[in-house]
Amino acid sequence: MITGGPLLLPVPDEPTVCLEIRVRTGSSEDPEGREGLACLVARMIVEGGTARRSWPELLDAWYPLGALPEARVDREWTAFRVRVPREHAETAADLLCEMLVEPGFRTDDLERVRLAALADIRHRLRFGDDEELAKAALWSLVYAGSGYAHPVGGTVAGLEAIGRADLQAFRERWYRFRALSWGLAGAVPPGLVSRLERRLADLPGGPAIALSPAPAPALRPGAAALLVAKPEADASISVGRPLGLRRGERAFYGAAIATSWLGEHRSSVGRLFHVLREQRGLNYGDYAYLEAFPDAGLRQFPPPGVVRRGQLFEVWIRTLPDEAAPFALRVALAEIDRLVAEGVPAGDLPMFRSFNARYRFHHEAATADRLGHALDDLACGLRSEGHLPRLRRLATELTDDEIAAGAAAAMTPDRLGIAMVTGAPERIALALERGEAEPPAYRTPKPAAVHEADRRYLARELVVPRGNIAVVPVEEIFER
Amino acid sequence: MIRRPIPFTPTELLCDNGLRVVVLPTPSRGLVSLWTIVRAGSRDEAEDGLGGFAHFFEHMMFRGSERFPADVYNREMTRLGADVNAFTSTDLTAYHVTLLPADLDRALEIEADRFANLSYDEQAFRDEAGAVWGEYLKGLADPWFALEERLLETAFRVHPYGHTVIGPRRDLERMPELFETSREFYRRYYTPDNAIALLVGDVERDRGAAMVRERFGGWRGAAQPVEVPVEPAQDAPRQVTVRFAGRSLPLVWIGCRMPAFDPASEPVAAAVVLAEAGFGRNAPLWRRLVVDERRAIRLEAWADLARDPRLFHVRAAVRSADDVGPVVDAIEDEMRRLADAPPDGAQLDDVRSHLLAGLRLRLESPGAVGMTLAPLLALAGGLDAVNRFWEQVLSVDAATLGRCAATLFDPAGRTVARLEEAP
Repeated sequence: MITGGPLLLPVPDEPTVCLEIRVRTGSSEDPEGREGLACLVARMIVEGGTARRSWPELLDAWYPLGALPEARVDREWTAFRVRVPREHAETAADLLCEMLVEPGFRTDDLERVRLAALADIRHRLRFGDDEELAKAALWSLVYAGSGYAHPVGGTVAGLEAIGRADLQAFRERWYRFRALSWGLAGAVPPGLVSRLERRLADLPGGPAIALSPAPAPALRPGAAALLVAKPEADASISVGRPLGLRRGERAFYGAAIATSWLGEHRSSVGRLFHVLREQRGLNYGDYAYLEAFPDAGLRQFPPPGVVRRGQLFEVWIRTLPDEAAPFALRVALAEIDRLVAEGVPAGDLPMFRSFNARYRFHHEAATADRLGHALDDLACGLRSEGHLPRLRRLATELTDDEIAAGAAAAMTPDRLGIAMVTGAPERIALALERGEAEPPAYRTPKPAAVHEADRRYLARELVVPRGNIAVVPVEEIFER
Repeated sequence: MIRRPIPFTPTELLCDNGLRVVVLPTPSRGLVSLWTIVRAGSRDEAEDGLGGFAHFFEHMMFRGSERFPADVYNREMTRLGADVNAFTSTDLTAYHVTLLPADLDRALEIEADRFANLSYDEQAFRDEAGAVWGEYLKGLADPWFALEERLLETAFRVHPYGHTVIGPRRDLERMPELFETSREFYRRYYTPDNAIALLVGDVERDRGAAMVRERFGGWRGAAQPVEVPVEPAQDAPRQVTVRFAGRSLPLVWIGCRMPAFDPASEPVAAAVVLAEAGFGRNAPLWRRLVVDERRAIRLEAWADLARDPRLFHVRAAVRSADDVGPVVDAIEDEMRRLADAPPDGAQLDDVRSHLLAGLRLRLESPGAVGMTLAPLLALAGGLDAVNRFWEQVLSVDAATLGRCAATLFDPAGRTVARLEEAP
């Protein structure tokens, strides 16, 4: 990974420095029965002691700097990031290197961190946020049986089985100097790069290990559904299909502009938002994605560091009444059908071209994010022009036909995964199996045009064979 | 003393219509952020049945004006690639637009028009009430929200701080009937003399100030805020227990009555330091509960910076029901200890360094600077006062901390709220 040293983005007049060190591994490399290991190793590094210092002593050392390094673990990458006022740059670099090079992996730290990791699954994922749970369920459905199936945080049984020896073996294998990709940005002081290089060279030696082959989607042609049964819950839905496009390809950018039109994250101009929320008041928002967007409920822009070889085209239908779920699914699919068949309406295209040419600057508003995206570009082999500049440029250059072709390549719903957290799993399963849906019960009167459109939406066929429908009680999902 | 904890130099002016303008160039390239901050929040919901109205009204502001109705507003902001959002808190509602500097004037034109000429009909009002209701229902699944609701209504009996920002269920249910009230709310609070415009990021200061003055110049009106009742002093400890219908770790949330914000207030500055020194991750209590005994999965504290006296908060997610009693006892013991043996010497130096670094690290993009400063500007009025307050935070001495802790942590002013799963 590392050839000519780190990536540098100097901003001399900035009051802070950011440092990001990435390791080429993630949850897709968790050994079977140890799901959660990649994440636990990274958390033990940033939330546990080193060989020299206990965790409280490390906290003492970091405290006056006003920051602590964070670990962002994804399916294929693990990133350690920290940003500090520039007068603390050397101290921060030394401390982070100590954590990476000499992790303590102490038993008492392991028990504390494991407790927090288990609470993340048992409480936060299962019971704290139905929408994130539906997204996690969608990946487990589409990539069943592969390293992508379990959430990055792991499974209950996997976390419980992990011992200190597992942590050490995983780190020996993956945290090699030659497997690093790293960079510095902001007011980088002279000498910091060589200081870091010297320290990081003490990581395990040997060649970088290649990742396992990219996981293959388990979906066959047609539709499959995973219903997470949660008493009293309304329906939270994520729908998707494997994406065959990659960053860098022109068609990816055509699809990206079409995705903005269908449902840019948290935009009130997207088509799905318009028909489901604005016209019908069914829920709080409805959006579409070409790539993973973790913690979408908490962010406006996707974080860097979630580059994956396998991605999903995904539609997020925010929580709505269970009885409206089969209808909402049909609305989303009918809109996708139309987009695939006809492309983005000509009248809307100039707006979404302009939007993409400008809005993508926000993804890298902070220097730390600019660094993260630059490292993503390295990971994707985009050396001459990065992903975001490319999107901004192609937003005005692509032809209407290229945008339509991109949409068709990304979204054609020939293979479809439907994940839903619901309080009415049997009723939903029956509706999916029989291909039935009812018009929604509106709280306020709707114009005739809306009712007319509803009839067209209801005519959109959606049948999921019983054999393709799984129902899992919420207490059991991601148990093992 | 640390001078200018916020290391940027503002240009500030007062427009003829009473609007205060702060222009704050920062070393960021390519983006500028416009914040329109209205001093109306859940604090101003003193009248019966109006709980949640300020937040609800924030939604109505996105219904646009006659010139730029919602649809036109949204499409134009989309064309400009603007990042547009808003939030409501206890004391303010802030609307922000971040975009490329070349598009700033157009954004100002559109943004100013909705403040001066907001327009919506009763049907739009009723539809939006449905969206807010959905937001409330989503929040109910969060055990912290359920606990906060009960903590506030226990701690405050008269003042509107007794309800959450989104509002109580009974008020939200009748929200669709309050169309006329919403027009009145707009006239009373959405006036230039009750607002601040903050322009931050890649902006030329004189030109930025002139653009804001010109575009917001047509906004008229004078604020007529409703008088907010004064909460009587609390004279005995209070407590409440929530039996939560969903799944949750046991939770503890302790609120201690504290004074209103004032840039010169020693007790408020001390409370900011005590939150970090007493309950932050370097505090002896955090080490004990989170690291050594592992009774708490999470422990945190903060001081409300608010227009009226509000709360100092300590909250914890606890490992098991058996640990709740010991965790509450440990927090209360620590409160006594902070009064008797306040942080001093190297520990206090570290806390100051941590607070200053934390503040400056938050200022990482135009949007983040706005997010950090908007609430403080609404309280303090200008950046000078914000800096004065932070200078005071960073120079409070041990003796003052001890004296303030004794008052702040007086058990008589304390409310202890617990949450456990319903059997």
